[in-house]
Amino acid sequence: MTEHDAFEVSLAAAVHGYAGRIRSDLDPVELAHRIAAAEPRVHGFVAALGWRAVAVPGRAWILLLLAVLLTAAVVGMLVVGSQPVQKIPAVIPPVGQLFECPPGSTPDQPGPVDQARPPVFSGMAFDRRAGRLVTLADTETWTFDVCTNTWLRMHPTRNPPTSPVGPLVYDIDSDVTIGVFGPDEDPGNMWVYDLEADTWREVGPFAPFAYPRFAGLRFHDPVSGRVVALGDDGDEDTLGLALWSYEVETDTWTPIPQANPLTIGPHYEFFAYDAVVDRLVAYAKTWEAGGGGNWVFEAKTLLFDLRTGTWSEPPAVTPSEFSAGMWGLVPGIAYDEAAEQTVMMGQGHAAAYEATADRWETLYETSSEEPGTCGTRPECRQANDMLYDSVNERLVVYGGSVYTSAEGWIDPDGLLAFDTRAREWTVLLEPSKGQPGGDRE
Amino acid sequence: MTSLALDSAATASAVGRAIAGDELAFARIVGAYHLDLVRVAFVICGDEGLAEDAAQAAWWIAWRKLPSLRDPDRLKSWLVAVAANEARKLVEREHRHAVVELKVAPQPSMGADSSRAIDHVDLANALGHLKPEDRALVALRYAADLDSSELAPVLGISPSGVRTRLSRLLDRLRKELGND
Repeated sequence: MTEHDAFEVSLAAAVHGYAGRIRSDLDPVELAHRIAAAEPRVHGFVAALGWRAVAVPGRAWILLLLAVLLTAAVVGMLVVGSQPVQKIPAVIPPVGQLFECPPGSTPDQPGPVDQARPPVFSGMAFDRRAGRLVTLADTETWTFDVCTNTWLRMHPTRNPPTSPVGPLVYDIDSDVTIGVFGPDEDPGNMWVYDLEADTWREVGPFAPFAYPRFAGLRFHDPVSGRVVALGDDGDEDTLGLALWSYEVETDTWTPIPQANPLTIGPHYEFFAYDAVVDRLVAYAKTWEAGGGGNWVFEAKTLLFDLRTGTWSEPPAVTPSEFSAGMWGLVPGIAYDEAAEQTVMMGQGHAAAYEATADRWETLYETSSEEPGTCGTRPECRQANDMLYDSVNERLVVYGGSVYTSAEGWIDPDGLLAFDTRAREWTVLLEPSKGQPGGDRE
Repeated sequence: MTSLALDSAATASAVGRAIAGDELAFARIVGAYHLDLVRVAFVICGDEGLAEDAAQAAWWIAWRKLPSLRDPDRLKSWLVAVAANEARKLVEREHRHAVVELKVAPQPSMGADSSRAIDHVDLANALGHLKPEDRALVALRYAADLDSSELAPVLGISPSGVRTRLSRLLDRLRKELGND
């Protein structure tokens, strides 16, 4: 046995012993009943097939497959083939600038490093009329002034009872920030924050998604004036998300229909709304068994037309670096209105998609195979978030983790800005004392 | 609770009936694998409460996605992978992956070579320095005993890629645990 083997055996034993101490008082019957009652089975054609479909006699099975393929081909020609697949013209101008920094502002100078700041990062939105980021951290409301790069703790008379589930979204039409709150397994009501009045108010329940734990608010739709929420439709083989739109003035949800839910196989997905072409941009990574026991992965760019409810797949060559596996490192994704590109960034990689040209552009290709090889540079963050600052026309990057050889993984509490067009970083706020400042280049 | 193991035929039967909506069959699956899920999640979270939350969250997903499971023989690897993913998400949400608090009493593990037995406190510390997906790899390989071909689809890389990644991870852990 080699030294390496001996250590592995010892490690395996230690992990077994470490985890083996854990017990559980769970009642399997009670849990199964609770789940089955909450999510009763749908006994349709697909459910009836299940994996028992292998019991269908061979000839009938082949005929059934042929019929399905023929139908899919016909539907594909009729529906997908008629959709715009490349060089989509710009149809929706970005929302204009609603706020300007006062004269003498220093948006490119880092804010005071010793200032009070939120204890943790959670969902954020950018209030375009106030020029501030809005977030709720541990049930404290904070705003960040992008003209002075300073945090300000707000003092509304009451705050939502929990951290937000998923991102916050700023509703330009109503000039409020909206979030969903409640436990992840049962997201409850939404709350609406009026920054000018510094007040939160509770509104109606979240959209009636079949699986609310997998749903969240995503973006403000400038055409309908509504906030759009995306959720899982319960089928891991399709990109047929459930989509709902919300009108805060009337506190009503409306389903967004899909004419051609796409079947793309198991996949991971990321979304951003491209206001210029008025499409939801989806980055999806699929996989399937290949030869020799290996797996074949493919990255796809998909577009969803909210007005017609149709998906299309442009032929763009899509970068494959993002979201590797079930616990992919989850890059940030945001639409940069100034650059007119959807930007994905994290794990040492960054790329931008320009829908009007149907083209991905690589911004960073930094080695990140091993922690430390990428360093603490901004693009090396993992599981970071991004949003668009319409005042300074750049992306704000926050959250996530970086690896330092001395301290392992740490969560920087500073804020950065990225200008996609110039590929320039600006430090908005250095990490607080005791955190590495990074070796930005 | 104690696990009630299912053999291959019983697993296939339980999966088929659970897909059809039989909640008692689903309960049997839960009873058979819940501890595995909690333990895998614990290696990733380092927190018993979070581990239980992750395992229970995994059961909701399992109920929903069970019809997409094409091979019942892969049930366990699929379930623990789902739990590992839920645990990873919880850790990231809780911002705990940089925390190295020791929550276990010193208790040497029973390794094959007692002179090299790894203390649980040291192990917890070492795990705390790993990113969540690496902890998940440790958990799935050594707590759930999945091999590289079982890990490949859930990691999104080839079996040889799994072995490479695991080898690097072992090197790192060996340094971390002072065994180099």
